[in-house]
Amino acid sequence: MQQVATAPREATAPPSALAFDDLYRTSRDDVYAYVAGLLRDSHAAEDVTALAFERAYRRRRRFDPRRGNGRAWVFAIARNAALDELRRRKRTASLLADPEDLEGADPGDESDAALRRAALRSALARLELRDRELIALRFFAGLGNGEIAEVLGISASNAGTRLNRAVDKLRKEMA
Amino acid sequence: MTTHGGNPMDSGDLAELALLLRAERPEPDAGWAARLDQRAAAGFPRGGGSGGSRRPSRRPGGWMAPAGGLAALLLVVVVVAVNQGDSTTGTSDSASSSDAALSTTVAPESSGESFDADGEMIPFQRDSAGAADLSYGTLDARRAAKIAPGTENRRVDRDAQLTLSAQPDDVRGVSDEVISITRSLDGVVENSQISETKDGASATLQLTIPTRNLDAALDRMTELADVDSLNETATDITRPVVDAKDELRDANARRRELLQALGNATTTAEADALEQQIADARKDIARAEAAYEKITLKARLSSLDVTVQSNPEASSQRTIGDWLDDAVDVLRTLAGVLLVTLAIVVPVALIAGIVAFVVSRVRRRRRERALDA
Repeated sequence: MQQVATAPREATAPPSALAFDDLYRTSRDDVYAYVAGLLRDSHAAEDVTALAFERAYRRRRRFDPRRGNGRAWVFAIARNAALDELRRRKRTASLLADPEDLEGADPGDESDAALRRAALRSALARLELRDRELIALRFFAGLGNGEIAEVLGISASNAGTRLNRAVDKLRKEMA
Repeated sequence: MTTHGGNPMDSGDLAELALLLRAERPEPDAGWAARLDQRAAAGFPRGGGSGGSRRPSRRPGGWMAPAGGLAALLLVVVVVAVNQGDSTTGTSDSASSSDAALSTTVAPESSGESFDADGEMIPFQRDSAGAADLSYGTLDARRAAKIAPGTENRRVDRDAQLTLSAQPDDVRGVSDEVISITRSLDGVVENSQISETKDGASATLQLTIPTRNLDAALDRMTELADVDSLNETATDITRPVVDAKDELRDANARRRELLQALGNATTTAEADALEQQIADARKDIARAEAAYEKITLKARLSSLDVTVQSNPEASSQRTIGDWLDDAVDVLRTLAGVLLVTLAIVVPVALIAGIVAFVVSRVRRRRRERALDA
C-alpha cells in the first residue's frame, strides 16, 4: 500500500474502535513520511511510526473527537515519539549529526532536475529541526494548517506564519 | 506574487518547490509496511514482531495498578475508621435513647476536700522482708500527685443491677448474649443460674466487669431485651483509698523507725522487745497492704447483677421503629464513609491533578527542546 499525499486532507472521522483501521490505512504512509523527514533516518522512522500506531491503538478509546480530528491525534502521538527519539539521540550522542539518507540519490545524474533535488536535500539537512518539521508536516504528510496547528498545539494562524517562514528559509538555503 | 516572511515569492517558484518537496517525500519500505499491516490487523499484540517497534514500548496506564491499590487501601482504612467511630458513638446513643426506668444513686463520702490521694501514682518498693515502703516518693512527686476536689483521679465504686424481660423462649439466648458481652469487655461471669420450667424461664447472672467498661456493657445489654429496671450505685471511695494508703505508709514508717532503734539497742532485753515490735509492725503492714489492695480493687472492678425474666408480653419482634433506627444508622454510616472518603480523595485528586499537569508541561518542554539545535 503506497500512496503519496499531494494535498492537505480533510479532517477524517475520529478513531473510534471501528474507525481505527481506516485511520491507520489512510495515515500510515503520511506518518512515516513526516517522521522520516524529521529524523532523516529511515530505520528510526520505521520504529517510531510503528510505535506511534501501537500507542494510538492502545489509547484509541481515550480519544475524544471533540478535541480534534483523529488524523491530527495520530500525528501528535507520532510527534511525541519522534521527539523522544531525538532526545534519546542527544543523550547517547552516538549520532553527532543527522545520518545522510542517500536513498534515491543518483550521483551520476547531473540533469537540472537532479541538481535541484540534490540542492533540496542539502537545504533540508541544513534547516533547523523546527522548520524541517513544518516542511515535513505540510509537504510530506500533507497536513493542512489547521491540522498542523493541532499537532503542534498552536493556533492555525501561527502555524501558517511559521510554515511560511520555514518555506522562506528553505528557499534561501537552496539559493 | 505571494509574500513569505516579508520576502516576495513568485507563485510559480512556490509551486515548483512544493512539487519538488512532494517528489522527495520519504516512502516506507514495502516489507516493513506489510509487517506493520499484519501487526495492525492483529491488534498490535504485545511482544513486538515484524514491522513493530524494535524498542519495547512502555505499557500505557501501567501506573494504574499501584494507584488503584493505594486507593483501595485508603478506602479500607476509611471504612474501618468510620465503623470504629460509629460503634463508639452508636452505643452511647442507644443507651441514651433507652426509655427504661433508670435510677442512679451517687453517694459521695467526701465534701470536696483536697486529699493526698496519690495512691498508685507514687511507686513503692518492697524491702527484703517483703514489706512495702510507700515513703519512697519524693516531695515533688507527692505534691504533683495531690488531687483536686474535682472528678479527675477520684476513685468510685460502681455497681449495677439490671433486670430484663424476654419471651420465655428467648431467656436462654439473652443470657448467652449477656455472657458474650461480658467476655468481650474483659469481664468475668462469677455466677450464672438459668432455670426453665413449663411456666417460664429465668436467669440470674453475677458479673464482674472492669469499671471502665461498665457503661459499654450496660448499653449493649439493655439492647438485648425489654428493660424492667436498671439500678446503678456509684460511691466515691477516694477517702477510703487515701486512708488505706496512709495507713500503709504509717505502718511502714513505724517499722523503719523500729529497725533504726534496733540498730541502736544496747541491751539484749531491749533488742528482744524491739524485734517483737518489728514483727508486729510487719503484720500491720501486711494488713494495710491487703486493705489497700481491696479498696483499690473496688474502684477497678464493678459488679453487675443481671436478671432475665420471662414475660410472654415482652416484645419479641422488631418494631418499625427499630427498623427505622437501623436504617438511620446505616445511612449515617454511609454518609460518614462518603464524607471521610471525599475528605481524603478530593485533596489527593487535586494534588494528583496538579502533579500530572506539571509533569505533562515539563515533559512537553523537554520534548520541545529536542527540536532546538
